[in-house]
Order: sequence, then structure tokens, then C-alpha cells
Amino acid sequence: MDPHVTESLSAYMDGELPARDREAVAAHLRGCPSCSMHLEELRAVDAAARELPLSVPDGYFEALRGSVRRRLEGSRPAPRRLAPAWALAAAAALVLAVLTPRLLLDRGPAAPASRSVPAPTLGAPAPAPADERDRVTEAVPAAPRPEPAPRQPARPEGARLQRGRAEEQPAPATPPAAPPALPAPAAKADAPAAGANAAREQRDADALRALGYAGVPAEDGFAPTPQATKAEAETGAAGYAEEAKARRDKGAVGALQDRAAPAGEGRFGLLARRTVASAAEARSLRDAWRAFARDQPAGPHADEARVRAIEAGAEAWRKGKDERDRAETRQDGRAYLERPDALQADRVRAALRSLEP
Amino acid sequence: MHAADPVEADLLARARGGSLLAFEEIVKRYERRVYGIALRIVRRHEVADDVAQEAFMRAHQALSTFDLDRPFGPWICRIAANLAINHVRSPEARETPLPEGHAETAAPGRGALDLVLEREAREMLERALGDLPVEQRAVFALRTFEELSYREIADALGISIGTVMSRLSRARERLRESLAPYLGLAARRAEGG
Repeated sequence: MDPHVTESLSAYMDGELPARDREAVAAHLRGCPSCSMHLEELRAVDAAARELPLSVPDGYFEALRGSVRRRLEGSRPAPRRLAPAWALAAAAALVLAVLTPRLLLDRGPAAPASRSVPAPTLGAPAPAPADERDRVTEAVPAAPRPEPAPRQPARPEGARLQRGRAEEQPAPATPPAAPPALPAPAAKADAPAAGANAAREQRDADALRALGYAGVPAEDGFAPTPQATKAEAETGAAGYAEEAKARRDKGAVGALQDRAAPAGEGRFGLLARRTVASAAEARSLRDAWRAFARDQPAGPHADEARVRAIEAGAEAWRKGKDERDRAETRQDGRAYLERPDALQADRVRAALRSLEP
Repeated sequence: MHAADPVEADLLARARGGSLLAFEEIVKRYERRVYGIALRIVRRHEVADDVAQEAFMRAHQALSTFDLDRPFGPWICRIAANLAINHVRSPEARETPLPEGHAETAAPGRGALDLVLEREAREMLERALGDLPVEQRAVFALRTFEELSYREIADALGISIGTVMSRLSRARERLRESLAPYLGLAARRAEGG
């Protein structure tokens, strides 16, 4: 048996040993220069690690804030401004005329994506099994939610995955005696709030139904129209509106992306779940895909990343009509088609064709 | 139970009500911690950036269920740590060392030999940290840089306190072995304040 206490020194140093063990280790240290030296070395390791500077590129945090803001703006409900009744009526009529056929298209099981982020098609990674996808969503804040309200509509799988597993699972069990130093993030036991949410959601559901969208299943890429936004504004249904808007932004394409998320997820999965609502976001996504392909040129998803960079570039052009985006995308596309290892030339040609007037 | 900072609780309440400005303030408060955790686990800026963004997005999505009486910091750190660990465990992860010289900061008033040794030691430590299994690295990062308690780390990573204890001990031992040639220098510096 090892007479020394080296295995306990780490916890001793952190003050995490039970009192009896702590006293025993302290007594040993008083008479053992070897263990005392060992302890000093462990302390020196920690001190040296703490001295390692955090390397942050200049301007990074401003860029991070901007990225988060843009992503949130892309998924927030329309601002609630009062508009004249005639304007709302005109908007409703226009939207009905224009979007209803589109909505019907989107309801198809495999509605081809022509908006938002391009859908993975040729060569897209096979859909991951649910447990694989869940592996990453485990990182989602384990914020337990109250018992589901009785009238809460069933959510599609994609939406559930987006919202994260945290809302589907109870918080990890924590011994009740333990001080909850870490927020078992947000155990909010407000049943009344759940009831209020249910009532709110019900009002919104009614409002949507009144506008003719009853029975449209959200999992089919339900894309509510501005009428829905109007109804949400009128009913003050912020929570439902956010979800509806998120689904609208995500649309059928986003749902397909969820299903096509590769096993293992990781960085690829993080990027594949991004949605874009503006040219700037599409550019940011394009750059992120380029960086991914650059970092892992021989990786299993490098080809897919190159193609997605091109498609995101095309999306940037469609959204912003900035000629620089079109030029860059054409250049990226040509470079891709010249690659001997290009696996998805047809998909890239299609993206390039979409740049033509 | 921790009482949350009232200013922060107010920001979170407003963010929950839809204020992006309020949430941006929250991001500003925690961006360095979140990015730091991510970087120390994934070891690459681009990936740490993805993780940091995603952590804030997921926190925002789950704000409606967040208890404002609790501190936000450990929660967002937990999200970031888990995202980072998931990334490193994923087949897509191809970890490469951080760019050379990224951590160059010369301490003033030291001799040339000390500076060289310090730089070598830092590089050695960076490499050794990168060589740790991600589970050990995450525990080490949360303890050493975030100063979380064992209970907090256990809760954050969904493991037992005993596992935290053993992973941390193993991580430190490995780092100690890697740094053995330089530990005299570190001890001298510690003595010299």
C-alpha cells in the first residue's frame, strides 16, 4: 500500500476533501517532504495554467455580439407596430394571393428548397439517428420546463430538436442536500405560467385558425404569413409568435437540414443548423463553411462544406443582390468544379445557375 | 441558493421579454468566460467561436424557462462546456495546436534565459493541455479557470463528484509530469511573487 497521499493532493489543494481525510492528509504532509513537494508542484501547475493568456483576435468580441444579434434578429417576431386598418387589410390580401400557393408547395413532403439556406441534396450526409442528434443537443441548457399544458400542440421532431433536449427532459437529478450552487438551470416551478402559456398558445392557435390555417401541420414547414403575425400582435402572443417565426424562418429547408445533420454533429452540425435571414448572415455562413473546409480539407465533410459555402454565397446574392457576392460565388463555384475530388458538381452547377438573371 | 445580481436579473427579464439589447448586454458580460471555456476545451478559435455563438443562442432559446433567481454564469458556462466537449468528441473534430506564438507575452524585468524558459514552459503546457483527454481537460478548465466547485463541475457535466475528483487528479498529474523540467522555474517565480 502506498504510504503517501499523492492521489488525494489534488482534492486537498482544492479544499474538496471531507474533513477527516483532510486532517489525515495534513498530518501526513507535516512529516513527508516528498508529498509536500508534490503538492507544491501541483500548485505550480495550476498557477502556470492560470497565467496562460487567453488569445482573442482583435475585435472578436464585437464580432461575436454582432453574430449573435444577427442570428437572434433572424428569429424574432416582427416588431409590433400599429398600422392603419387599410394597410393590414391590403397586406393580408396580398399575402394570401402570393403566399398561399407557396405554402401549399411547402407542405409537400420534400418541398425543394429555393429560399433560405440551400437544402442539402446530392451527397448530403445521411440523416443521423435520433440518438446521435440528441448527443449534441444534450449541451442545450438543461432548463426543465413545467408540465406541458393540456392544449399545447404537438411539436414536430425538428422543432423539438431545435429547442433542445433540455426542455424534454427533467434536470439531472441533484441530491437535495447538496447546495444548488449550479443552477439546475432554471427549475422554474410556475404552473400558473404554464397555464398562461397554454391559454396564450390557444388564443394564437384560434387566431391562426380564424385566418384559415387550421390544421396546417407545422412539421411540414408551415410558413405563417403576415396575417399570422398580425394575429399574433393582436393577441399579444409573444411566445407562440417566436416559435411560429422560428419555424417560418427555418421553413422546410431548415427542417430538411435538421434531418440531414450528420452523425457526430460537432462543428459541422453547429453550422448546418444555422439559418440565415439576411445577406450579411448568408455571407457569414459562407465564410464559416469556407473556414470549415479550409480547416479540414481532407475531412469527411469537406466536400459538403465547400458546396454549402457556394450555396450560402448564392443565398447572399439572392438576398442582397450585391454583385460582389455573385462574383465571389461564381469564383468559388468555378474553383470547385475544377477540383479533381469534386463530388457534387451538379449541385454546384445548379447553385451557379441560380445566379443568372 | 444564489441570489442573482439584480441588474443581471433585470437584463434577463427584459431579454426574456424580447429585448435584444438586454440580451446583448448579457452576452457582453459573459462573452469572455464563454469563449474562454470553449477555447480551452476545443483549442481552436474558429471552433470556439462557433461554440460561443451557439451557447448564447441556446441560452436565449431557453430563457423562458430560466429561473431568474439563479445566477446565469454557471448555466451559460455549462452550456458552452458541453457544446465544446461534444464537438471534441465528434468525428469531425480535428484538433490542431493553436498557432505558434499566440500566447506570447513577455513579462517585463526578467532575464533572457528566464524568458526563453518561460516561453518553452508555456508552449509545453499548451501542448500538454491539448494532449489531455477532453474529459480531463474540461474538468481542469472548469476548475482552474472558472474556479467552479466539484459539485458545480459534476452538475455541469453530468458526472459524479468522485469522477470529477479522479479526472482532475489525473489531469494535474499528467500536466505535472509534462512540466517537470520547468517546475523549478515556476517554484522560483512563485517564491519571488
